[in-house]
Amino acid sequence: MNGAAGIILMAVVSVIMLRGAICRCDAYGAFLRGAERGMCSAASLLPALCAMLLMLSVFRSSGAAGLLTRLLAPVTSLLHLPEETVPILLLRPLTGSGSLAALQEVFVQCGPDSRAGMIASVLVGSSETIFYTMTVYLGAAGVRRLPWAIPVSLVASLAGAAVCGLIL
Amino acid sequence: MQKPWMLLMLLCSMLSLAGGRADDAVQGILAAGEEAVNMTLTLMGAMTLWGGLMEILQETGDVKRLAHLFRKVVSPLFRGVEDEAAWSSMGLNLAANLMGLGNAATPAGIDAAKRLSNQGEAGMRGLAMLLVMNNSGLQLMPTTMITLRQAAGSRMPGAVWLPTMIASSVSMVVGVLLMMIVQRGGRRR
Repeated sequence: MNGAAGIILMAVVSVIMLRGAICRCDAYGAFLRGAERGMCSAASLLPALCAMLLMLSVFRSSGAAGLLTRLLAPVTSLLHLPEETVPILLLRPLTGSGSLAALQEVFVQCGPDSRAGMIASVLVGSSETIFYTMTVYLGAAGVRRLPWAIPVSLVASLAGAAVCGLIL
Repeated sequence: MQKPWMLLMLLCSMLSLAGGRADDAVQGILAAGEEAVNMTLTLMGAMTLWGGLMEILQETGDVKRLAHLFRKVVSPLFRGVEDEAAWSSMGLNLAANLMGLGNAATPAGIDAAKRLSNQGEAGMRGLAMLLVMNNSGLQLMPTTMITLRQAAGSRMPGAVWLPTMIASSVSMVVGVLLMMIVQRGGRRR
């Protein structure tokens, strides 16, 4: 673990425990409850993750991935992003499991500490599944269209990606 | 995802068959299941651990307190929204997202969306702003990402913390500013 992040993470754990102790609430019971919920939502990811890894695998071995990467090379070089991150850029707004699968591909191919691996991590960590979130929220609220929300979110996300290319 | 998935799967598997890359393709396919299980296990570890730790903060009421603080900070962005219940759901949604509590953020966000959609034009503007803020994915600690990196053999899994914060903050600021600009234009018309 490297300096700042390790200290921050440990500080967070300490603060959580301190708060639990001060409040005299059932911290252990709360932990078990939250942990169970986290476990269940992670387990429910497996089928979609498998579908996405399967898709990315045939996509790469068929040579289609290489073709798409070459097609988008002007865009990625403009943003200073490595070409291995193309699948992430395309999948991130659409599917969470798809972008995690694409992230794993980059980790396996280039290693998590390579420039591509670092950028892939930051790209996935600093954006959201825009189309999915919109569908869930608007669908639940019965709103049919919300002008500007999607284009503005996409531009904002692209700005985040450009920052990744600049600082890493 | 149904159509694009089917289309890509069909095209790519036929392409690799026709291109004489069947061996390569099969190797990848056979590995996909195991890879999915391994990734799910890593994710499950991270989500169980942090889901448990963060639940303690919900039990103590700190997430609610943070939500209250948030309301005050972001209230200039949501002018004209009067509904008290919508405000508290919005605050909770933003606070839970910042803490990485997806399980708590989504129900609060849906509740806020329902209430805002009944608030006329100011409500719709507020909903668009809330969604743009959600979509920047700002999170205090990208715990899932750090765990995934560690599982992939990274020697510095936490090194992404600062760049991730910078990238999502920029994305958040750009999104909010752009939204303010297009909404102001819409009101003048």
